[in-house]
Amino acid sequence: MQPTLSIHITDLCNSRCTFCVVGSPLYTKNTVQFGQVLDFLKSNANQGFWAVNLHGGEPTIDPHFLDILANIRELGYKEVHLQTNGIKLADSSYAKKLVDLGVTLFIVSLHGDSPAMQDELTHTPSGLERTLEGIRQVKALGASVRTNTVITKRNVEHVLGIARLACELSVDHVNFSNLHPVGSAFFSFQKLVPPFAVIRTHLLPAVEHLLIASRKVTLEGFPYCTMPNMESLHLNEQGRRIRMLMRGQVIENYDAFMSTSCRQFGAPCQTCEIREPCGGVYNEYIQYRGWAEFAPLQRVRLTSHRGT
Amino acid sequence: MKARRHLFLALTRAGWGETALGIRVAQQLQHTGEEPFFLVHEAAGMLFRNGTIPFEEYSDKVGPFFEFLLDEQVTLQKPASIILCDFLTTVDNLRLMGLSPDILSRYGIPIIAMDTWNFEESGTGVDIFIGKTKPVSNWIAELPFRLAPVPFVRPQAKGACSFLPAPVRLPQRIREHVRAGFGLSAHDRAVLICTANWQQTVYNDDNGQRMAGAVPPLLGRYLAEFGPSVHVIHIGPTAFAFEGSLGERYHWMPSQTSERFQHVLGSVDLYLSLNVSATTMSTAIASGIPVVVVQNSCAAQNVDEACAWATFPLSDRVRTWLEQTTPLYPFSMFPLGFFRFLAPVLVDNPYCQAFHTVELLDEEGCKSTCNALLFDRGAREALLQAQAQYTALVHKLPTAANLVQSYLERGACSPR
Repeated sequence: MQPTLSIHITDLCNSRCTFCVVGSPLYTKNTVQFGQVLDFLKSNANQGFWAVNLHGGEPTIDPHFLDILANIRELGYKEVHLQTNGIKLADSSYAKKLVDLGVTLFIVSLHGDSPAMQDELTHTPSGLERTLEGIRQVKALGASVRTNTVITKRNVEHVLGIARLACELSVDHVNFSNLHPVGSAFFSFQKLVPPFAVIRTHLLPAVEHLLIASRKVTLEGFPYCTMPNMESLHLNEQGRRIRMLMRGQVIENYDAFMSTSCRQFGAPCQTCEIREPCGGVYNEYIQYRGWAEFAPLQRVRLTSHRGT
Repeated sequence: MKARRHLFLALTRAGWGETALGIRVAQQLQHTGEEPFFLVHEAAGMLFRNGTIPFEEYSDKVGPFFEFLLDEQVTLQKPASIILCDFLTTVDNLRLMGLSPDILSRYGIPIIAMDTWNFEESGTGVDIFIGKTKPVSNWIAELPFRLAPVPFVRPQAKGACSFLPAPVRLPQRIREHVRAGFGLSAHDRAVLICTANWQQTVYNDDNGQRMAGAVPPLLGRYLAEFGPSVHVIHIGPTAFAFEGSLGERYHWMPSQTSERFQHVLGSVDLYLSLNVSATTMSTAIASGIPVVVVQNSCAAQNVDEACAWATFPLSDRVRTWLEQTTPLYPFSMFPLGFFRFLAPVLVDNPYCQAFHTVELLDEEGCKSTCNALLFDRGAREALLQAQAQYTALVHKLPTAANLVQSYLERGACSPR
C-alpha cells in the first residue's frame, strides 16, 4: 500500500455520534490550526507520500477544507481520501467540486441500514437519507467509495443489512470497525459495545455476502483472536505506512502508535503466535471488560507436500 | 529571576485524593510562574496524563531504593521545597517502603506538609473498623508550616488555604451529549457515586470486609426506588453489585482521567458520596452540583442496640439488613471509619453547610433528601445557595500557592 499522510483537519462535526472516537461533540471550538495543516502538507511533499487522507470531525464543514484540497493538488500528491459522513455530498454541485479538486476515494460513515438506526446513532435527523444520496452522487461522478461501519449493540444485528445496502449502492469497499472506546465512546461503552462473540456471529454472514458480491471487505481494530480465520481482512495486514498530523502532534507511524499507545497485550497474548500484526486490545476495553474474551492463536501451519 | 522548583511527593497507592489535592497546589504554583515536579506512585499516574505538570512514576518494586530515587530527584531538580501530598500518606508509604520520614530532613530543604485532616483538631488516632486505632506520627509536630486544605478543614485552621478547584461548567450541548451516551433522556436524572481503590479492596479485617460487602447492596436498593427516571453512574475500580436492583439504570465506569471525570461530573444532577472528605466532592460543590453524604453514626452490637440508637423509624428492609450485618461501627469514610477522628474537624465547619448529610440506616431520610434534590427545584436551589456562600467564604482565603510562597520568603520552614 502506498505511503499516506493522514490529517485531522477539524475537531467539529455536523453529526453527534455517541461513539465518536475523537469526541467531536465534546468540542465547542476547533483547536486545529490551518497553518499547521499547510506546513505539514508542504514539508511532506515530494517525500514519497502518495495519498493524503483527510478526516476530523467532519472535514466538509471546515472553512479551510477547499483550500486544503487546492493545496494538496498544487503540492503534487496523487490521491486524496476523504473520511466523511457524506451529508454534504448530497449536494451534487458540491460533490462535483470535491471530485474536481482531486478527491479520489470517499470513505463514508454508514452505521445503519434504516433511517431510524443511523439517525439514532449519529443524532442527525434525516442523516441517512442525505448520506445515501451523497454516495450515489460521488459514485455517479466516477469516484471510489469505501463505507465504514462502527459496530455497536444498536447495529450489530444489522451488519448483513448494511452490507446489502452497500452492495446496492455499488460501494467498492466495505470496512467494519471495532468501536474504540475513547472520545465520546468512553461514556457510552456499556450502552454501545457488544461482546466480541456477538459481533462475530453477525459479522461473518456480512463478510461472506460481500465477498460473494466481489466487494473488497476489511476489518479495523479487532483483536485477531476475536475474529479467527479472518486475519487477511484486517486493514493493518495490508502493509500500511501512515504519517499522521493530529492536533499539532505528528505521529510517524500510525499503526505502531495505536499498538503502543492505545492498545495493550495481556496474559492471553503471551503465547499468541500472531501477536505482532494484531496490535492488541484497546486499553479502555480492558478497563471495562478485562481479558476473559481473549485467547492465544496459532499460525496455521501449511504442510509442504513436496518431496514426500 | 529563575523560577523556583517544588518537589511534590505523592506516594499514596490506595486512592487519588491526596495526589489530586497536590495537583491543585501545583497548578496554583504554575500560574504564578513556579515549577512543580511530582514523584508519584504509578497508581495515580493517570491523573497526570494529558496534563501540564511534569512527573515521574515509580512502582512498588522500588522498595527501600526509593531513597535513591529521591536523592536523584533532589539533585536533578534542586527544589526550593518538598511538598508532602499529604503528611499522613507520605509517612505511611515511606514506612511501607522500609524508610523513616527522617530521610526527608537530610536535604536541608524546607518541607511543607499538606495537613488534610487538621491534626491539631482531629487528634492523633484514627478509628478504623471496630476497636482499631491507627496512630498518627508525631513528626507532624516538627513541621511547623502546613497547607490545610479548605475544603475540607475549617477556614480558621492553622495553614488554612483555598484548595477550591475551578468549577466544571459544561455547555448544555455537551452535557446532553454525555448524558445521551448513558442513554439518558432530557427528563431523566443522573446520580454520580465515586469510589477509590481503598473503598473497594480486600480488608484484612472481618468487620471491614463485612461492611464493605453489605453497604453497597443496601444503598443500591434505596437508589432503585428513586424511580424509573433516576440513573446511577458509578466511577470506581470495580462495579457494585447494583445490577439486580437498578438494572440498566446502573452505569459503572472504571477510574478515569480528570478530563473524562469532569465531563461526567458536569453532566449529573446529584453527587452521592460515601466519603465526607472526597476531593471529588469539593469539585462538585465548586461546580454547583448538589451533594449528599451518606454516613453511619451508629455503633451497635445487634439490632436492638441499633433500634435504641435510632431517632428515626427503621424500615423493615433496614432491620433485616441489620440482622445480617451487625455488629456495626460508625464511619464518615466508608468502609474504614474515621468517624471519631473526624468528628471534631466537622463540628461547626462551614464545609458541612455545602452538602446534606444522611444516615445510612435512615432509609426514608436518605430517599427523601435525594429525591428532593433531584426533583424539587426549591430544595435544590436552597442547597446551591448554601454552596455559593461556602465557596465565597473559601475564596477569601489565601491560595495554597500564596502560602507556599510566604513560607519560603520567611525562610523558616525547615524542620526544627
